[in-house]
Amino acid sequence: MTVFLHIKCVYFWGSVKLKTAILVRILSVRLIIVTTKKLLIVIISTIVLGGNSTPCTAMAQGSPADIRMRLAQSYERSGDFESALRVYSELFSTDSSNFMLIESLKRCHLKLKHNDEVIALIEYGLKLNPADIGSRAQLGNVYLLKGDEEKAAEVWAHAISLAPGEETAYRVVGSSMIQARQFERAAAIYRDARKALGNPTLFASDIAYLYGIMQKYPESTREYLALLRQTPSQLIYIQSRISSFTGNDRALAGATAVVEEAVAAERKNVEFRRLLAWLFMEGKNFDAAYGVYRELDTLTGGGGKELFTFAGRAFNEKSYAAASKALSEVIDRNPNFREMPRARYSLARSLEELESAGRIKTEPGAGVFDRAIGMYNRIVFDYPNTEIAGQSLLRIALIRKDKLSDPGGARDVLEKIASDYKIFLPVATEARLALGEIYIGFDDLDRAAGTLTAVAGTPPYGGPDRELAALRLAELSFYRHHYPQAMTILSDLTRNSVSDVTNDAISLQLLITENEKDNREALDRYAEARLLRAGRRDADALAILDDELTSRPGNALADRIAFMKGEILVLMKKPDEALASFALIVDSYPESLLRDRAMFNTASIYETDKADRAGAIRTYELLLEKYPNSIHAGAARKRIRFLRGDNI
Amino acid sequence: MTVRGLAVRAAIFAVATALSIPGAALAGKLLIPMDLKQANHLKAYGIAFWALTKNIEVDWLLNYRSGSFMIDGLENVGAECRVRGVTYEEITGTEAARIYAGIQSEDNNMDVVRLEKAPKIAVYVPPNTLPWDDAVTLAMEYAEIPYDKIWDDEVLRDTLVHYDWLHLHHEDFTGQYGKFYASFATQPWYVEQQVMYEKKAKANGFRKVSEMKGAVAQKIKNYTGAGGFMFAMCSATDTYDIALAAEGVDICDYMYDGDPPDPQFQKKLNYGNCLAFENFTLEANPLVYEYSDIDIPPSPLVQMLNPETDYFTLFEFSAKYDPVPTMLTQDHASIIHGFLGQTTSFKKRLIKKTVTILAEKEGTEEVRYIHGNFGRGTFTFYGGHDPEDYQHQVGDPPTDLSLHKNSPGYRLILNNILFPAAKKKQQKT
Repeated sequence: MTVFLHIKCVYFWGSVKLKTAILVRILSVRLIIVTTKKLLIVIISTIVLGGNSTPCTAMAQGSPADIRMRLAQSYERSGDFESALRVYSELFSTDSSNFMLIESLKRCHLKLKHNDEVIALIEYGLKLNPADIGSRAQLGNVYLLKGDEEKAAEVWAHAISLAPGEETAYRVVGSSMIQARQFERAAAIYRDARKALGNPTLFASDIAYLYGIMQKYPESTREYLALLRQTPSQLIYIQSRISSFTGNDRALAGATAVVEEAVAAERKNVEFRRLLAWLFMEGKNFDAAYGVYRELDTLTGGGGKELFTFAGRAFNEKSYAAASKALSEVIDRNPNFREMPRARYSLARSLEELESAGRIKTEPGAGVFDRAIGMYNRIVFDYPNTEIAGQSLLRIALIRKDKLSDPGGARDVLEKIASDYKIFLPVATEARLALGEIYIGFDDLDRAAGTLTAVAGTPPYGGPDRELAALRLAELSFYRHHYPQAMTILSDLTRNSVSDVTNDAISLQLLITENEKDNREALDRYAEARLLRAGRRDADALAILDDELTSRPGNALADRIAFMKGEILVLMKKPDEALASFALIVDSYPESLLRDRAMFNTASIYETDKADRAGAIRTYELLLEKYPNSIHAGAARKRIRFLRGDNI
Repeated sequence: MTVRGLAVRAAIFAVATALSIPGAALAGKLLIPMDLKQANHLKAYGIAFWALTKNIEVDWLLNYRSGSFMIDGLENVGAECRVRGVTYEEITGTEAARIYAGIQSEDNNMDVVRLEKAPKIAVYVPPNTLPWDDAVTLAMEYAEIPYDKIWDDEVLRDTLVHYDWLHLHHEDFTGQYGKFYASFATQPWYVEQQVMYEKKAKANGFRKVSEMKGAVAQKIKNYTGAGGFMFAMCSATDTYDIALAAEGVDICDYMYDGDPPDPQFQKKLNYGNCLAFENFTLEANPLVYEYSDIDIPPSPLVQMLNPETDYFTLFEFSAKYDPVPTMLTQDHASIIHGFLGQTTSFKKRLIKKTVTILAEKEGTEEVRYIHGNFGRGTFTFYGGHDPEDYQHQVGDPPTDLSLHKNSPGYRLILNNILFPAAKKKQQKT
C-alpha cells in the first residue's frame, strides 16, 4: 500500500476595484499510506485556514482605518456623498493631517454644494502647507461658486503673489480660472506672466486659444503670429487652430487683416506669407492669394513651384484670371521649369475660359480666341507628338467647332489628331467623336460612319464614348433613311436605362416607330431637315419645313416640323415668326405632345427676345392653367416668381 | 360648439335655403382638396395662409377629403394656386352648398371651421447657426408662411404678447446645451454656443444659463396661460417641462454651469409646474445624450429600432364636438412613418391625464403627438426632429421639402400653424 499525502494549497485571489482583496485558501490533504518491506513514508501536511502565522496567510486584511476608507470611497463612487462624508469625517477626526482625507472631504462637500465647508478645509490645508498654490487657486474657484467674484479675484491674486517669478504659479492659477470659465481673467493672468517673467511669447498658444473662445479673433491671430515667429515649424498647427474660426466671415476677415499687417511689417518672414496665402485661399480670394504666392516664390527661390501649385487650385475653383496671372509668371520667370509643357497648356486653357466669358479685351482686327489658339499652336510646335500637343490640338479643334463656327478648320485639326495622335487614346477618341459630328454636318456621311464606327466598335456598346458614337451612328442611319439599321442600334442603346444617351435614343426610336410605316415621306423630309440643321444650314432646313407644312399640314409630324421651324426662327432672330410657328402647334394640333413645350418657348421669347415681362408672365401662367402636369410647369413657376419679383 | 361654429352653421343653412329658391345661385368657390388628389399639400397650407393675409376668409372642412379648404372663387386665388403648384377645383355655388350640407349632416364626422385672420407667428431660434435643421422653419419657408425670429432677449422683454403662435424646436431649456458635451465639447459651434449663452445670461442678470432658460420657460408659460398658442417639437418638449419642474433646483453638472448639481434634485422636482408631464426621472449622468425617462425609446437605444416598421397612428376625433384635436390631426394618412429625434416619443404613463393624446405607436407606450390647455391658451408637443429624415444627425444638410411636398408628417406641423386662425383673437395681459 502506498501512502501519498497530497497537499493542496490554493489561493483564490480576487479583487474588487483594486482596493479590496479577498484571500481564500483551500486546503486539502489526502493521505495514502504506502508500505513496503523496507520503507514507510508518511507525509502529513496541514494547512491552516486563516491566521497570520503561516506563509499561506501572507495577505493581511488591512487596518480598520483602511477598511473604513474603502467604505467611504465606495459610498462616494456610488453617489452617496452624505454617507461618504460621514465616514471621511470620522476618519479625519483621528487623522487630521492626512491630505488624502482632506481632498476626499473637499470632493464630497463640493458635490453637496457645501461651499463654506470646502473653504474651511482648504484654509485648513493651507495652514499645513502655506505654499500650496494649487489649493489657493482652488479656493478662488470655490469663492466664485459662492458668487463672491471679488473675493475669488483677491485669492487668485494672492496665489500668484506667493511665487510671482514662477511660470508654474501662473499656469496653475490660469488653469483654475479656465476651469471656472473665467477666460478673460485667465488671459490677463497669462499676460501678467509675460511681464513678470520678461518673456513676451510666454503662454502664446494658451492666450491665442482663449481669445478664440472669447471670439476676439484679431487678438487670437496676433498671438498665433507670435508663436509662428518663434517656431516657424508650427505653421500647420497654427493653421489647424485658426481654421476653427475661418468658417466665420467676420473672424476670417479679422484674422486676415492682422496677418496682412504682420507681413507688411516683416517682409522676409516666409511663414507669415504662407499663413496669409492660406487665409486668402480660405476666403476664396484668389487674386489676393496670387500676390502672396508670387512673393513667396521669390522669397523661397521656388523657381515657380509655389505659383504653379496655386494656379492649379485657382483653376479648379474657376478663378481663371488668378490662374492665368500665376501661370504667366511661372513661364516668364522660370524658363527651365520642370512642368513647363503642363504650365503652358494650363495657361492656354485659362485664357480660353477667360475669352469665352468675354473677360479679355480683343485687339482690333484680332479674333476672340486668337490668344488661346496661338498658345496652343506654340505648344504643338514646341512639343510635337506628345500627349500635351494632342490635347492642345483638340482644344483648337473644339474652339473652331463650337465657338467660332468654323467646322472646316475644326475638321482639318481633328483629322490630324486622328491620324498622328491615335496612340493617345482619350484624345483620339474625343477627336473622332467631334470629327464624326462634323462629317455629318458636311453631309459626308460615309466618312462620318467610318469615324464613328472606329469609336463605337460592335455592340453591345459599353462606356459613355462608345454609347455616344453609337447614338450618332443611329442618327446617321436615320438621316440616310436606313430606319431598320437605326432601330437595331437604338434597341441596344435603350437597354441601358442609366446611360446619358438613353433618353435621346428612346426619343429617336419613338419617332421612327410612329412614322416609318404610315408617314414615310414626311419622316424622310424631317430627317433631311435634321441633317441640314446638324450642318447649320438652317435656311435650307427652313425651306424643307415650310414646304412640308404647306403641302402636308395634317400629317402626323406636322407639330414636330412646326416646332423645329420655331427653333430655327429663334436662332435667326425672327421672334415674331417663331411665335407664330409655336402658336400653330398650340392652336392647330390639340393632340400634340409638344404643346406645353411650344407654350414655354413662346413665354421665353416674350421674356428674352421681346423683353415683354407681362406677356411672359401671362404665357407662363397660361401654361400652368392649361398644362398643370407638364414637365415644364416647375420651370414656368420659377420664371413667374422671378419675373414677379417674389422673394423666393 | 363655439359661437363661431354656430354662426357658420346658420350661414350654411341660409345658403341651402336660398338654393332651394328657383333661380338663386351663388358665386363659385375654389376647393383645395387635401386628399391624395392634392399635388402639394404643404404649399396648400401656404395658400390658405396667403388668402387670410388678403382678408379672404377660408373654410377648413374638417375630415372632408382629408381636411380640405374652401375659398371664395376669386381669380387671383386660382392664379396663385397655379403659380405655387397647388391643386384646386372650381366648384359652383350649388356644389359648394351640397358639400356644406353633407358636412353638417349628423351622419358624417365632419365640420366646418372658419379661418378668419392670419396668425402672427414667432419662432424661438438662437442667433448662431447650428449644425442641424429646424423642421418647423423649413415647413414655413416652403409653404411661404412668414414668421419672426425671437430669442431669449425678446421673450424676457415680454414681446411674446405681440404673437398668436410660438414655435419651439430643438431647444434645451434645462441649460445643458443639448447634452452634446460628450460628443461635441471641443467643436467650434459648441464652444461658441456656450460662450454666447453665458454672455447672454450675464447680460440679462443671471448667474447661470440654466437660470436664464428657466426664466424664459416661465415667460412662455405665462404667455400660453394668457391665451397664446405654443407648439414644440423634439427636445423643446421635454426640456421645457423639465425646466419648469426644476425651478430653483440645480440639475446641471459642472461642465454646464461650473458646479455640481443638487444631489437631491430628483426629490425636489415640482411636477405641478409642468404642462404635460409628471413623475419623470431625470438622467443624472451629464455624459448621456438624454434628459429624462420621458423620451422613449431612450436615445442610446434608438439603433435597435427598425425604420421599416416604425410607424405611428393618428387618432380620430369628433369633428363636431372636438374640433381642436380634429384640426390638429387633419391628414391624408392615418398611419404615419416614424422619425427619430433627441426626444422621439413620450412615455404614456408620464403624461398628465388632462392632456389629449393625438397620435401614438399602437400597442406600445410611445406617444407621438399631444395637445393640452393651459389657462386661456394651448400647447401641442410633437416628438421627433424631422418627419422626412428618419435620423437627422448633427451636420446633416437640411431636408429639401420640394421632394416631400405631400409629407403627412409635415402636415401635422402646419395644422398647428392654421389652428390659431380659427379662434377669436384673445386679449393678452
